[in-house]
Parts: sequence; C-alpha cells; structure tokens
Amino acid sequence: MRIGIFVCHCSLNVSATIDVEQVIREVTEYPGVVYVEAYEDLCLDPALERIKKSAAEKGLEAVVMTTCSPTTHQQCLRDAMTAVGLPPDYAQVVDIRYDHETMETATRKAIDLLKATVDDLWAKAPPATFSLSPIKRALIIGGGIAGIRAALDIADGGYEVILVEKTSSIGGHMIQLSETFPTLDCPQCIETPWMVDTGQHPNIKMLAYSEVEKVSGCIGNFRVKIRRKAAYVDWDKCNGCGMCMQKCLTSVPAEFDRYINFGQRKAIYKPFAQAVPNKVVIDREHCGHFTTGLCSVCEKICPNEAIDYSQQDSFMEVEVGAIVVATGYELLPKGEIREFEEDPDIIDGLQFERILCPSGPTDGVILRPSDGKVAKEVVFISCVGSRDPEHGLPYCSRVCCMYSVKMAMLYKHAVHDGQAYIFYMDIRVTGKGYEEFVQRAVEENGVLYLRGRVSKVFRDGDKIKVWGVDTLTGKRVEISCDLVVLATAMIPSPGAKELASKLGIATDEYGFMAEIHPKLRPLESAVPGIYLAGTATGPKDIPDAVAQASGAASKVLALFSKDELILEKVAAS
Amino acid sequence: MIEFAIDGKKIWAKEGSTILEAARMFGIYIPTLCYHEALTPYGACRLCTVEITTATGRTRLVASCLYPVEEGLQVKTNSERVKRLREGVMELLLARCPRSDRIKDLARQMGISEPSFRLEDEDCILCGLCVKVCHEISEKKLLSFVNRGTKREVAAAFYEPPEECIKCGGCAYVCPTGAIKIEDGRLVFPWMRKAEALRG
Repeated sequence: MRIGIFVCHCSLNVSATIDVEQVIREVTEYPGVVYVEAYEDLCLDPALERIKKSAAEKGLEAVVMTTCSPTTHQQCLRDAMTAVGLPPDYAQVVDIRYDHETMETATRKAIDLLKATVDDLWAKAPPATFSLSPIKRALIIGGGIAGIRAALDIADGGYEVILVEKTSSIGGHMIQLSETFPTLDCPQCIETPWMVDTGQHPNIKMLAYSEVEKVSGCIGNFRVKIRRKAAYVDWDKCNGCGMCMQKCLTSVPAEFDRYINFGQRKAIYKPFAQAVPNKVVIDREHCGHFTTGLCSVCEKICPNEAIDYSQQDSFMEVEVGAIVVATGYELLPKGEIREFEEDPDIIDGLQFERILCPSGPTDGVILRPSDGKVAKEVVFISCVGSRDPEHGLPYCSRVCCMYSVKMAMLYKHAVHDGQAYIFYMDIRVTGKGYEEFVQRAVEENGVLYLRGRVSKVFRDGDKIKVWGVDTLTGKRVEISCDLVVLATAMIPSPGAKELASKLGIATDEYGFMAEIHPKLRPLESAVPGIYLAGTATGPKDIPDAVAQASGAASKVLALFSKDELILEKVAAS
Repeated sequence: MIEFAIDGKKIWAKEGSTILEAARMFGIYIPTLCYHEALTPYGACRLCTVEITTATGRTRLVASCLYPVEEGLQVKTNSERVKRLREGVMELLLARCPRSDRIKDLARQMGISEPSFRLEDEDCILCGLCVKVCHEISEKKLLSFVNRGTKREVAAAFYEPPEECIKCGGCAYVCPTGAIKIEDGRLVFPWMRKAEALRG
C-alpha cells in the first residue's frame, strides 16, 4: 500500500512543541510510507488542493495528515480524498497536540502516533491480486480406485489428465480383494474395465512406476517434476507376453500376495495378471543380473528385445492447473500389536483376502500358511490397533466390521463345515445394505459373533489358542482354532507425509491428508487447487472413495470452466 | 490335498508335488545342492535324502526332490540313517571339490572338514543344473553329460564351444560351485580347458 504523510507545522500549535524535522526523518523510513511532505497551515484550502495533487501524482492509496483538531479537519481531508477517488477510510488525521513536558517526548509521541496510524492503514488494505488463465490439465497422484475414477471423470469432461502411480500397475488395493461388500462383486471384474478405460482414454496420460519428485506454483499454474522409475524394461517394446516371467530363475515372496508363503513372483514380474499397463518390471534387489552379474536370461529370451539393464530413472516436468491426491492406505503392521505373536497362522485382512481370492495363490482354497491344512475353525478379531488410545490408534477404521463379516461369510461359502467366530466391540455397519448383510451372515451362514475383546493369541502345537471374553454371557472364552484373521487399523500409505510436504499441504495427527474443513470442504486441502479423494484422507469404503473421487473431479472441472482466475498475492512470512 | 507328515508335523500338499517342495513351502529345512525351484529335479547330489515309511509300513531312503507326496507318508529328515548318508555324500563332494566355498560351507554346517577320501581338484560336481537350464530355460540343449563312470563330465557336442549359445548366462547363474565363469562376455566351462589340451 502506498501511503503519503503530510506534516503540518503551523507556527503556534505544532512547531513550538514538536521537532518537525525529526518527525519527517523518521516516518520517511517507515515501511509503506512512500511520500512525506511538510506544510505550514495544512488546514487551509490551498494546502488541501496541494494534497490532492500530490496524491494523484504520486499514486497514493492512503493519506495521513498531522493536524491540530481532528474534529475540524478529518471530514475536510476525507472529502478531499474522496474527490481524488480514495475511499474515506484511507484518509486519516493524527492529532499531535498534547501537553508535553519536553519537546523530545512530544516529538516521540507524534512519531509513534503516525506509525500506529500507518500500521492501521496496512491492516485495512485490500489484498493485492493478480489474474491468471488456469492451465486446463489435471494431475492425479495415485492410481487406485479413487485416482482412476477422478481421472476418468475429468478426462470425460474433456480435459487432459496425467495419472501418476508408484507401482507398476494401476488398481490399488481393491484389486487384491476377493469379493467386495455388500454385493459380493469380484473386484477384478468390476475394476479392470475402468483400468482399461483409463489406459486407453485419449485424454489420460498414465504414468505407472512413477512418483512425484517436486511441486511448485499455485492453483491454475503448478509445475511438477515426475520421476519415471527404471523398470530395466523398455515399455515401448514390451508387449506383456510373459516369456521372461516364465523363464526367470529367481523367485521371491510376492508383495501383491502380502508375503504369505503360497504367493511367489519372479524377479521380473507383473504384479498381477491383469496389470494395466500390461508390462513387466525387474526387481533390482533380487534379480540375478544385478546381484551376481551372471544371469541375462530374460534379456536373451525376450522376443522383442525389451530388456535394458542399463536403464536409469528419468525425469519429466509437467504443467497442470489442478492436483488430486488419491494416495490410498496401508494396514497397520501386525508386529506393532503386543497381544499377537509372530506366527504364520495369525494373518491380517488383506492376507486372508488373497487366500479367499479364487485367482489368488491358493486358488481360493482356504489353506493355513503353516501346514496347508484346510482351516476348519477361523477366528476374526475386530478393532486390532483401532479404537485404542492407549496402545494403538484412537480412531475407528470404518471398514473392518464389514470386511470381517464378509470374509467370514466367504469362508463359510468355501468351507461348508467350517466355523467362523468374530470377536467384536460393536458392529458398525452403516452403509446401504450393510445391516442386512450382517443378518444374512448370522442367519444363513452361521457366523458366530462374540461380544468381547481378546487378551491373548498364541500357538499351541498345531492349533492357535485365542483367549477372549463373551460379555453377553459374562464368561471367558478359549477357542482352539486353525487360523486367526486380525482386522488391523487402516493407516496412511507409506510416503504420504513426504508427498504432502512436497505439495505444501497438511496432514493430520495420524498422517492422513488434512481437509481444509472436515464437514463442509472434505475434498479440498488448505492449498487452493489441490484436492483430496479416497482413503488418503481417512478410512472409508469403496462407495465413499469413488464418490469422493467424482466430487474432487467436479471441483477440478469447475476450476477449468473459468478462463481467468483472480488470485491474491500472498507471500509466506 | 494329500495329508502326510514330516518329522511328526502333519502337512497337506497338492497332489503331484514332491516331499521337498512341500517341505520348502512350509519352512522345513532339507539341504540340497542340485535342486533349483525353476528347473525339474534331477536327484544327482542325494543331499536331500530322507527316510520314509509308507502307509504299508515299508521304510527306505529316497531323494525328497523326486519322491511325490503320498497319503499317510511318514518322512524323517534327520534320522540316524539319513544323517550317515548325508555325511557320506558330503565327504565325497568335499573330496571332489575341496576349493568350492559352497561345498565347504555346507560341509562345515554338518561338521565335516577332513574327508576320508583322496582329494581331487574338480570344480564341477556333476549336479546337472547347467544341463537343465540349457534344456528347459534357453531350450537350446547345447550341454549334456558325456562319458560314463569316473570319466563322466558335462560338455557340448565334440567339446566345441557351441555357436548357437545365446549367452543367457543361466548356466553360470545356477552353478552351485561357480565352475562356470563369464570372461569377456564368453561362457567358460571346465571341459573347455580339456578341449584345448585335446587340440594340443
């Protein structure tokens, strides 16, 4: 704000008591003050004309005048300023007549009052603005179900989308599941059409096996540096035929199968058969070529000569107008929970999903990891690490009540003479069709609910013993079972905090992306132009994640409907 | 699923799998040298020998890498008979290849350091893994066992380095003793030294 100060030194009232020269010297240096002029007799008309002229010439946005009596002079000054187009608020008079002991104290007081008035004017200043034409291209970070839905919605809206996914295929966690509640749809069947659409959409540039490296800029004008990770395979040549996977000599436990013993993959691999893009990557940490320098089987076998061991990470820069963060979730590691031993037959939800999955490592047969026996008794334990302010996370992970009963039901479908028990605190099933689903599990499939917590789970020979309590009968319960499935807490995806820091958005105390207002603006971060969707902001089920994705997309489409954005100039201070 | 037991622990394995495959799936250790999970088993080294008692009560020693699982089989991986046989095999291998680190480590694990046999100086233990790789992975079938008895060795046709070799390096990668080396991008086998001597 450009502020001008006019110091009156009429002979009687001011000059005798105030060192005008000193006043002028000090206020000239003060931030915001661009012009200082001194007069005799500011109250008179010629002076006011002079002020008007100076204000116009110097482009002043606010004016301060030192006077004797404000009552007489304030309105004159304001009228004068209105005449030159300044709002009346921005014309202030400062009364510097005070009885003072000495000239120093009087001068000091005058200077302080002037400075305070300047500060006051700054506070009233309208923010500076600038306009820009938003770049109508969106960046989506995360290729799970939410990222895919947002990408498709924005692309269908007619705008370019860049979708960045850190693993080598889009699909996220949903594609690892066996069947989804409450419809018992096969997630591979319902998600792969969207994945294929995403891969083939003319408006979507899908960058799998890539990560966001650096972000700068503002809404409508972000510059993003993206790292394309080295797959050691030329994806322009690879056609996904899988010869390399067949011939590769090195097998390791598969991340996609959550490291259960039945699930193995080769060092050159696709995470799952329906991967989009349908390309392989080499796991450098285990590949014989990189560990021993001896093996080049895949390179020599590949019919398209697509293997390139010398490939390096590469970088690209994109300019986008909006960013959607859809980085998903992970499950709390079982090792972080004290009550449970490390044991192959004590598994978490995603591991059991892989066992239940008909296209999974056991072809849908419910085998125990420790010895391959068909599990005849399975115990599900709810709230493992959730709703636990003392030793775990205080929040509720929202989906576990439903997925535990779903998995119990699917288990009963697979093992008709098996018994499923669920230890619970509450049955939180609030979605559409969810309550009916639970009743069906109890009535038609014989799933047994036990209201109580579990104190200890441990191995006893070839069985797992579960010590719990049934509070409705008041009795302690001991179950000797074959398999225990823990409903572990949902936590943010690894690397989410670092990404948030690069984007300049906040995370909450648990590391989930923070919404600017949790009730009214749940899809927006505190940074304009960066939107949020899916489990990146907190635990939720698939319908909610998809709904949020479409919501975030609508905000992006609204942004892109404007050809000009007026933005405030805000600098970090 | 076939139900059987290894060292008293009941195991359920898929029909058609071998005792060794089932043991490895469920974390039970049986030592091997000539076994590779990506290749069909051969049973050359016999280190994976186990003692089995069939459902009919018959007991014998078999190579676990080859024996298919049977309902009611009782398998012992560390009985006295198995231990004696394994130690004997290890002594023979150590005598043949005293310089190989892999052989020395395995022998040390079993408590064997001084074989009672005359020491030889071979690199190749005739495990057949390189032959398997060349037949099953690159499918070029350039390597094979030649000669019989004490003169048995791995070689290519006529002891000539084969031109059709695609240099996939699979043979060098799977070799347990490091007998196959890669020099200047060429694969160098023990028989090549002999071939040069033959040509004089």
